[in-house]
This record gives sequence, structure tokens and C-alpha cells, in this order.
Amino acid sequence: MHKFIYHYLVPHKGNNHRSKILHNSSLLVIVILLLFSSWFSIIVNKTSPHILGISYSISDQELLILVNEQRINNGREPLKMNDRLSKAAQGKANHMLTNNYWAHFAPDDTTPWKFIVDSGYNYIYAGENLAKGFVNAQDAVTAWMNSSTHRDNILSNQYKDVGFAIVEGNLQGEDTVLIVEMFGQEKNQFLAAATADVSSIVDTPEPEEASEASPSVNQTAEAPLLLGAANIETLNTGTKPQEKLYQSKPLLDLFISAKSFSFIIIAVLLIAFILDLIIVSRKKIPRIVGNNLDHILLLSIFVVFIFIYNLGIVL
Amino acid sequence: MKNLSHHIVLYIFEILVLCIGFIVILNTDYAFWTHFVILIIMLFFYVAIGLIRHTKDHDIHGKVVLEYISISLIVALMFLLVNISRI
Repeated sequence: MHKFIYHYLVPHKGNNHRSKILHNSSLLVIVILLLFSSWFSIIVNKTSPHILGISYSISDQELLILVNEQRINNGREPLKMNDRLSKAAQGKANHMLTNNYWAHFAPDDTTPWKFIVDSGYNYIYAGENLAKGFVNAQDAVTAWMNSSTHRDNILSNQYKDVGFAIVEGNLQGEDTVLIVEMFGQEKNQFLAAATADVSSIVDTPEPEEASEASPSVNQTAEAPLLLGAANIETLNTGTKPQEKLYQSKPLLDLFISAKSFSFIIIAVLLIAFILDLIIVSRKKIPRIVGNNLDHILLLSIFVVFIFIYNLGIVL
Repeated sequence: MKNLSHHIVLYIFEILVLCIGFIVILNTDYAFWTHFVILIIMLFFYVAIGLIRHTKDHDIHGKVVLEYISISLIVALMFLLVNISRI
């Protein structure tokens, strides 16, 4: 075993002063191995996604808790889960999958607000955040919080309710998990707040401008009146809604397996290139080979890229 | 290290091309083929810069070209493998 590793990783007379794994024949074997792995992964992923697929676990309650954590941390009232907004979000997700688009506004000019109105939610303010490709709720909420327009939606004082839809499907040729988050405030909530006892009014903020990138609707010219910070316990005293958990647990996670496999190959190649660079430059052995430093640069930058590369995006 | 000092401008250019390329991929909205094309362009520059350096050093050879192409193919295939679920 030691001899094998030595032969493949350390340049010496026996391998013509070039680590065996860095010979063109070995590099071509790695290319063929990667080609076969890609082909095999595609076949298994399509035919048996329960064996090799993307594992994810997202629930609407988890999303609600994480969004409300962000609101509370930023001094905002927590949002309440609204079944009609969840129904609107579900309608939007299904519409995106059926019509194969990834946008706030559909190619047939259907707006997000149509789904909210159709669900029976009589809104005065509404907003929408989208995410796809995330495997857990935390990553999705973090990505939204890292985007200013989505963050504005999550932290907006204009919204009192929220609804989520989590749908798995094929969008634009990609098997993915869509998360639709719909925000809103009903007209009666707004009127109730506006006519509330003056003693309970602690803040009268300036009207918030509707975001351009992440749609939100503002249908009133008046400044919304905000009730004092609600007691979270009071909000939690209602009947606990049924949690909708969406999860897929294949035997092997395709993304993690592919990343791990790539890390192993890169690590072996990097070790070989670095050993080759050090040993051969010390011995000053002349060879006709590629520049080790070039390859070390490419592989090092690529390994960092793979480490931070994520499948999820927000809109 | 002698090689590094002789070709410092090419090395800096190579690092810039690779870093900028990966940053562009990480910061653009996901579209697999767009990202893949960006990666191929980066790898083309990587091969070209490497071969320019070998040409300047008068040690260009068929097996050197094959080595650069093989390393580029390995990187491209690893990117493909990581994105299999999206294809």
C-alpha cells in the first residue's frame, strides 16, 4: 500500500520523476471516471431518485419561526400564518411549474396579486418572495435576508400575515424545490389598527415604498398605523396549525456525494502537484511537463468555489 | 520560483481570470448552461495562458498541451457532476 501511494503521489526514478497520478494516462483515467460517474448519476437520479437524489427537509412552520425570529430580532411584530395566503402561494407555485417560468410576473401577465385575490384574502398590502433549490428552511431564509429587497419584505411593518408553499417539480428542465412566500395585510386589519384606541398607538412610521425588484403592493396613500409590539405569547395561544413538512431522504444525496467525490479528486491531485513541485524543484530535474503552479492555482480556486457553491437562488 | 518571477504578469492575469470567473458564476442568477459557458471560457484562458508561458520558455510539447486539456476537462466534469440534479 505504501509503495502504491509512493508511486502515485511522489516523483522518483521509478515513475520517471513525475507522480504517476499526474501522468497523462492517469489524468485521462480520471476524466473517464468522471464521465462515467456523471452518466451513472444521471441514470440513477432519473430512474431511482429515492436512491440517489437531492435530500431536503422544509416545513412551513419552520419557515414561519425563522422569518419571525428575524422580525423579532429587528424589533418587528411577528407575522401570523394565514391559510388563504398559503393557498395563494400554492397557486403561484403550481402556476410557475405548469407554465414553466421563474418570475414574480408570469409570461401571460398573471400577477402574484391575482392568486391572493383568488384565495379570498382582501389585501391592502401584499408582497412575495421566491426561492428555489434550497434543501432546508434556514438556508432559504438566510438567502432572503442577504438580499435587500427580500429582507425589506420580511421586515416590512406593512405585513401582518404570511403564507408559504413548498412544491417539488421540474422547472425549466431542472428538478427543484420551489418556496413561495406571500405576505399581506387585510383591509379589515388595517382599519382596525387605524381606529384603535390612541393609547395603544406607539408608532406612526412613514409609508414604506414598494420595492421594485421584489413586488409589494401599496394601495393606500395614508400612512399605516402600527399597534405596539405584540406579545408573542398572546399570538401563540391560538390552536397550533398543522405543520406541512416537505422532505425527501434518498439513500445518497446527489449534491453532497458529487461535492465529496470532487473534493477527494482535487485533494489527491493537489497533494501530488505540490509534492511534485517541491521535490522536483529541489532536485532540479529537467522534464517536459505542464507548469505545476498553474494547476495548483486552478484546483485551489476551484476547491474554494465548490465549497461555497450552493444550489439555491432567490427572486 | 524563477519561473514565477519571469511570468509574474501572466500569473496575475491567470489568477484574475479564474477569480473573476468564479465570482461571476456565484453572483449571477442560476442558469446551468450560462455558468457552464463561463467556466469553459475561464478554462480556455487557463489553457491559453499556460501554453503562452511554455511557448515563451521554449518547452511547449504535445503532452504538455494534453496535460492542460486533461486538467481543464477534470474541472469541467466536476462542475457538471455537482450540477447533475439541475440538468
